[in-house]
Amino acid sequence: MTLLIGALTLGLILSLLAMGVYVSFRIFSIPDITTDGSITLGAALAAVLLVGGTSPILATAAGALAGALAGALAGVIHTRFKINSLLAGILVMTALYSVNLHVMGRSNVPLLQANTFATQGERLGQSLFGTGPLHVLGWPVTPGDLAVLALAFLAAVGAGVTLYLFFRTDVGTAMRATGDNPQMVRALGADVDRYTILGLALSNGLVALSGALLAQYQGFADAQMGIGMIVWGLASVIIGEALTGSRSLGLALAGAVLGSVLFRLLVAVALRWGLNPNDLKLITALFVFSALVLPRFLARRRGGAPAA
Amino acid sequence: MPVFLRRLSLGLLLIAATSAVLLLSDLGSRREAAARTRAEAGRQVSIALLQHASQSILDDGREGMVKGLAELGWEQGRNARIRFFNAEGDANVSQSIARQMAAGGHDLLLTITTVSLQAVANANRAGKTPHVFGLVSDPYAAGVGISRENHLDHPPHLTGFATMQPVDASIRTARELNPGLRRLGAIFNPAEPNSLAQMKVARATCAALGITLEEGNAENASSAPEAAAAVIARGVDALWLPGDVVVFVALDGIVAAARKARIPVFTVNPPSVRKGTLFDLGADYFEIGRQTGRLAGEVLNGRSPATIPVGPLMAENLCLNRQALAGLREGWSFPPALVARAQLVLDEQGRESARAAQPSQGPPPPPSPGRTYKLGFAAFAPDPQLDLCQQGLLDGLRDLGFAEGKNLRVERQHAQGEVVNILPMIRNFDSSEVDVIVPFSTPVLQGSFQVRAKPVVFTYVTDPIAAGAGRSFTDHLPHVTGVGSLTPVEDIVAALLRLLPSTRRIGTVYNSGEANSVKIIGLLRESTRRRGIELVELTAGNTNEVLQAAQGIVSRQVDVFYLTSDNTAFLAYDGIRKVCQDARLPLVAEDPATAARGALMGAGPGFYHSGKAAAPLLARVLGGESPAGIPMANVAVNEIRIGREAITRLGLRIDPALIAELEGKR
Repeated sequence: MTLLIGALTLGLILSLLAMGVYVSFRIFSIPDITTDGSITLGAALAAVLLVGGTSPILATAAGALAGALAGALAGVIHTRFKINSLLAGILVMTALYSVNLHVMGRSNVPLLQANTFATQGERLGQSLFGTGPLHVLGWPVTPGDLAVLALAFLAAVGAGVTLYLFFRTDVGTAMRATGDNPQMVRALGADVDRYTILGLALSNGLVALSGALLAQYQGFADAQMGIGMIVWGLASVIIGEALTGSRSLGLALAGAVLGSVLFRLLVAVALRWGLNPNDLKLITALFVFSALVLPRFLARRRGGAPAA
Repeated sequence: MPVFLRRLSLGLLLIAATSAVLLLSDLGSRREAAARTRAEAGRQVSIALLQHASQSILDDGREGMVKGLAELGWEQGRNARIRFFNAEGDANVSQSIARQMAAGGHDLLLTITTVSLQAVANANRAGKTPHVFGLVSDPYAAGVGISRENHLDHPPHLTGFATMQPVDASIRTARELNPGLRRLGAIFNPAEPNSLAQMKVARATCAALGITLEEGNAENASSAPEAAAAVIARGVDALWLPGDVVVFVALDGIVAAARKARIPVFTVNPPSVRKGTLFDLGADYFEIGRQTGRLAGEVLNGRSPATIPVGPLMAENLCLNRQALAGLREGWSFPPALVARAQLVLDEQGRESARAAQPSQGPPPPPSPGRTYKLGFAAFAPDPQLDLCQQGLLDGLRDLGFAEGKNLRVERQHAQGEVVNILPMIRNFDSSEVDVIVPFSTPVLQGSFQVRAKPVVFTYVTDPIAAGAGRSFTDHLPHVTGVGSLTPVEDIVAALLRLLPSTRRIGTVYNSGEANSVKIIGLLRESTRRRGIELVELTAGNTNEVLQAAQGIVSRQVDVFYLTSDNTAFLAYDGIRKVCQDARLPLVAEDPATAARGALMGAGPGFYHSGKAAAPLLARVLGGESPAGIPMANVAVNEIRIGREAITRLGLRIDPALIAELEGKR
């Protein structure tokens, strides 16, 4: 049960990353590699502030803001200096590696004694349900775990709903239009570059938020924690699209959350089965493959039109 | 909205299905958790304990049992009501107590001595109540249905330990104390099966040593001194007493009779020296009792006695008495080696000097027989040094009696080199059935801080304090202990300068993203600065950048290339070696194995040793000790190897005596 709750919590925290990747990858069609650096940046800044005694909310917000700045920087490099978006991301990600080391002052910051959203969640859970383990269907579950899961759920849903509402405002709609058809937006007299910069800032802000929460959840920030995260963000977005069979905004955001959670659950199952650890990635790839293929297969069985 | 939900249904369904699969795979932990929490869930158990007589060894065994039960969560007066029965040496009383115990609604029956085992096993033949026994020399001969050939073949409600007194060793020890020992007297009660079993061994040993054994029978305590006098009259050099209940009740009389004849008495029941015997070589009955109590605790926690083989259990205890040595005939003396082995020595005035061995610093407890221990090895990513470390740990455990494949099962996982995988991996172990989680490397250790249900013993971590495991080696997280392996940089630099005294500039490449490397580079800077040597550093973020950085170092006119144990740089070891070879630059690497792979000097903690050093800590935790009381340690055996091939290739002239000295200096 702890494993299930852990996988759900991790999946929800990383769904913020998936939503961030959705913004850059699907709305602006930029596979933004800044992600690998900004998730660590969010974690690093939040960790350092938390160790210094800043409140978890402020520290998390600061981490997210730093990520947004990094994203904006990538946007500026891409739009103002006309550097290919992929390369702009690589540049910022590379630079962020050093920045992160400087922010932390070393390569790894433990958060054991710090007051984090996880410790606050545990305290909240204990004040609501007491300290003893609850029994859910016979499994012992600590109230702290449940409270942290609830907080992660609130964060994911909150971010998702905010994002959805934002993209329906005028600015949001213009941003979506920029991603879909920059020429048209330019013809309408809007500043495409500004929207792109804003979009990347939003994307990396979400990613860094995810990193800040992740560091607090796992109890440390590490310089290497961002390596390869963009890949899992992309995988979550695509799994989500395959599952919902739609690219409409609301469904895609919900799908990204579902994809991220499902992905972490699959990893947890592979771990639980005690498979040869060297095969874990292969198994993960097979799981993702089946998650992608299954909806199509089901649609064909039903005789309906294949999913979009 | 309904359309929206319908579109999400497949995803939600898959999540529900995967969750269900995960929960189903986790069913075992639910049951185990239920069993584990039983001791805490407010359940009260009633335990009945029968000992056959009042004797210090039996009392020790009883106290050990109470302690062992408490260690597994069953505390007298809190959640366990232990009723103590004592037959005071009377077999008839024993029978009636046994019937009462078997009839009266207890959750567990405990017995001490063979006679009590027989009485209770007989009364409890229907197997209504689980029964655990201890302090029994030969349960296979007790006639209670335990097979000598197959230790699992016994009544399903009955289990325990066989603690055969070290009869053979005690007689051989007597021979060591007095090589002139020719005639040995023995007093025993022929009605006690355990004495008969010991006498059989004694006869065989005496025959093998060419000693004549004079036997005297004592049917009850009052006839024992008489029997002793009769045996002494036959001209024996010493009296030996088996672990016989009747004889020991009369110990004072027997010792007095022997003293008159100026011959020593020795026994297999320590600490009889306090009553005037010359020496006792026997079992540590408190420890035997404690192990029995722990076994009983496991049975109360839900382990079925039917699955527990009745195996041997021994914890040796040697006591010597210099006061008794004084009045003896010629020929008796205590060899120093024996004195060093003794747990208790009485001096000439009869004062006691116990060996200053605190229980927490003593040798780790042996594995309980018949139990399979499970470890969860959690690593960050596979690498050759990690394999060495794990090998060292497993070798160390094997020396302590935990052999993989026999009574040890190891589940190995790694995080695929991704930090985000660490927590799920650790959580998985936390909710699985492993007994102890063993994290390797710093980030995995940090992930293990969140472990709730299991103890954690780490190794392969450079600096546990910096990782956040505690404020000091003794003041640390209560569920975590282990071994740090801070590289002995200072020693390595010193050795390097003896090998190459003209060194002025040292170059190095490392990944500043690795906490361990940053730590080591700090030490290296300090060490070189103090010696007035310039350190040229370049960093590399990943393995591909290492070679370029190495070429950069070579171009900067350094005298030596120093490769730290940096994981990133080490993965490119062969590339670095080639760069150094091409530039005819000596290479020093923090891994002893590199001396055979082209380095001039390979030196470092030798992670094999770091692994091995964690084994005793792990064994103690497996034995049920809490990590809270076990201090962490830094273990860095500086192992130095010099590469002969590199010396020749570089055309260096190095005194073979120096090489031998460096390599010998561990």
